[in-house]
Amino acid sequence: MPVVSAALSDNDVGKRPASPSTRRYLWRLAGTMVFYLGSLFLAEYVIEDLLVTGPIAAICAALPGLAFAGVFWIFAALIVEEKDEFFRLLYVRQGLIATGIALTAAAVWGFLERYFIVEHVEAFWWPTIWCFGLGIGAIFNKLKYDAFGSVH
Amino acid sequence: MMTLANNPTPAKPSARGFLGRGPGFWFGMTAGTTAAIVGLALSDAIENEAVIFILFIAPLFTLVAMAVSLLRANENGSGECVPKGEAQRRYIKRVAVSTSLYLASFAALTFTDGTAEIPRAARFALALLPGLAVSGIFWAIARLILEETDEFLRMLTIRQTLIASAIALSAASIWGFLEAADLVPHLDAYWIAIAWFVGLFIGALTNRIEHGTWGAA
Repeated sequence: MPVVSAALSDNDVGKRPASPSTRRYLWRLAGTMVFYLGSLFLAEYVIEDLLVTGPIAAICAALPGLAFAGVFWIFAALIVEEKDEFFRLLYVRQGLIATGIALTAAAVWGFLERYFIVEHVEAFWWPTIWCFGLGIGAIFNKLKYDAFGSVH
Repeated sequence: MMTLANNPTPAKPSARGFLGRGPGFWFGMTAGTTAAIVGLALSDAIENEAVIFILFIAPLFTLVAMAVSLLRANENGSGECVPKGEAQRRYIKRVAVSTSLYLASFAALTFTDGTAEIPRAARFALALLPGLAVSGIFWAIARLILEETDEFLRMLTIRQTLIASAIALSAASIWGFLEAADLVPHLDAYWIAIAWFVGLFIGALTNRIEHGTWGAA
C-alpha cells in the first residue's frame, strides 16, 4: 500500500497529476498483486507440501493464473476509463507494442521447441514478456511523444 | 486475393463470384473435398502421407476461390464488411505472402524432420522460418493500423487486436500455472499465437455486435 501511495504522490509521468483512471489502475494492480502472491503461496503449500491432487489442486493452480490474467482486464479498464485521449493513445500504443513483442517471441520459440532445438518454457512467461513489452512500449512513447504513458 | 491486390480498380458490378460462382458454392466445395480426403485417409484407402498432402491442394484452391468471391461480393457493396481501401489491399497482399512463406517453410521443416544428417545450425535456421513468417502477419496488422486513413476502421482493428491479446495472454497465464503444477500437458509456444488469431475473430465479432461491422483485419 505505501508503494501505491508513493506512486500516486509523485506521479509526474507525462507531467500531470494522477487522473482518477490512473488511481483506480494502480489500486487494482496492487490488489491483484496481493491476491496473486497469496494464491501463489497457497498453491505452493497445497500442491507441493500437502501433495493434494484432483479438482482442489486444479483450482489452487488456476488462482494465480487468473490473478495474472487480471492484469489484462486492469489494463483494458485503464484504456476504457481514461478521459484524456492523448494518454489513451499512449496506453494503446504500449499495449500493441507489447503484444507484437510477446507474440513474435512465442511464435518463434514455439517452432524451435517443436523441433527440440530449445527447451520448453512454461506458458506464463509469455504474459511476463508482455509486461516487459509494456516497458519497451513506454520507451517508444517517450521517444515519439515525449511521454511514457503508463510505467507501473 | 493476389489478383485483387494487383488490380486496384474496383470490380465491375456485373463481375460476381469466382469463375461465376458465389462464396456459398466454394464453401461447399471446400467442405466437400476436405470431407472426402479425410474420409479416404481415415478409412485407410490412402496410406501414403505425400498423396494426402498433394490431394489437399484441391480444398486449398477452393478456399482461395471462396475468399476471392467473398472479396468481390464485398467490393460490389453487397458484403458485410467495409469495401477495401488501399491500406487493406496491401494488408491482404502481405498476409498472403506471409502465409505462403509460412506454408513453404513449414513444409520444408516437415519433410526434413527425422533426417538426422542435417546439422544443428541448419535445423535451427529452418525452424526459425515459420515463426518469423507468423510474425510477418503481426507486422502486416501493425502496418494496416498505421496506413489505414479511416479512423473508424483503424479503431476497429485496434479493438480487435487488443481483445485478441487479452484472450491469448490470459489463456497463457492460466495455462502456465496449471502446467507448472503438472495438471495439464505442456503446449508448444506457438499455440499462444494461434489463440491470438482465434481472439482476432472474437474481436471482430465484438466489433460486429457493438459497432455493426466486422472491421477490416
